Amino acid sequence: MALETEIRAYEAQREELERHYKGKFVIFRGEEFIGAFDSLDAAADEAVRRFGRGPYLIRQVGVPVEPVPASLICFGAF
Amino acid sequence: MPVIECGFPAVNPSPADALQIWGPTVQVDVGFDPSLFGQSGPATGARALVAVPAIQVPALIDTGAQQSCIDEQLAQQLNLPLIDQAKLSGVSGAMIFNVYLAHIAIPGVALQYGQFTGVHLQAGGQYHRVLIGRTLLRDVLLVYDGRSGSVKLAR
Repeated sequence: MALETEIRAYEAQREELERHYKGKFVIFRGEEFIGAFDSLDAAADEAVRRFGRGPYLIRQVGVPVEPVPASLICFGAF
Repeated sequence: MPVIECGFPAVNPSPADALQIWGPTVQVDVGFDPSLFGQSGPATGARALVAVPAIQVPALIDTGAQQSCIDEQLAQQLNLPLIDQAKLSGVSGAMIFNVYLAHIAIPGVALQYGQFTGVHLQAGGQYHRVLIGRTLLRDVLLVYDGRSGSVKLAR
């Protein structure tokens, strides 16, 4: 699975991340926590500058995943 | 003020039927431009190598969706930067969706850049390659006339 290492590292540190960085955008590269940023723009800029196309994980801490559009259910795609 | 026709008023015999079948459709540019993110200015060096030239694809204006989405096959074809995966539950069980960095532009009308979920449009037999959600529509005027099969979109 793509980003498996990064997502596992995030999950392993999730409680601590939510304690210190809730709402911020964090970057993981492999198992390494790269940093926390105030916006997706800033995190993406840093990730692309340092690691190009990746792989890297960028995730907003403590924010639920956006729901998939209801129309996809109508399409039969979900 | 640019006004884009997103319906099918010239389709014979029935523009209304065409709009009902296809939905409001507009050509959009999809790509990845690192210079849109952050304050680093024009993309040079390694950042420029990551840039994905935009291609134009048909998009469905989906006022039922909050966020815009990009076809998963298109995202892979363009080699957009993959930044996350999201596990979501639907009527047919849980699925994992990829999340990409990209931009979607309706030329002359609207631009959105950020993260977009990859969804299975082409694989599901859909014509459209992008769903345009309300986040992209928040600064535009949209007039839907089902009787004439016309949909006008303006900034």
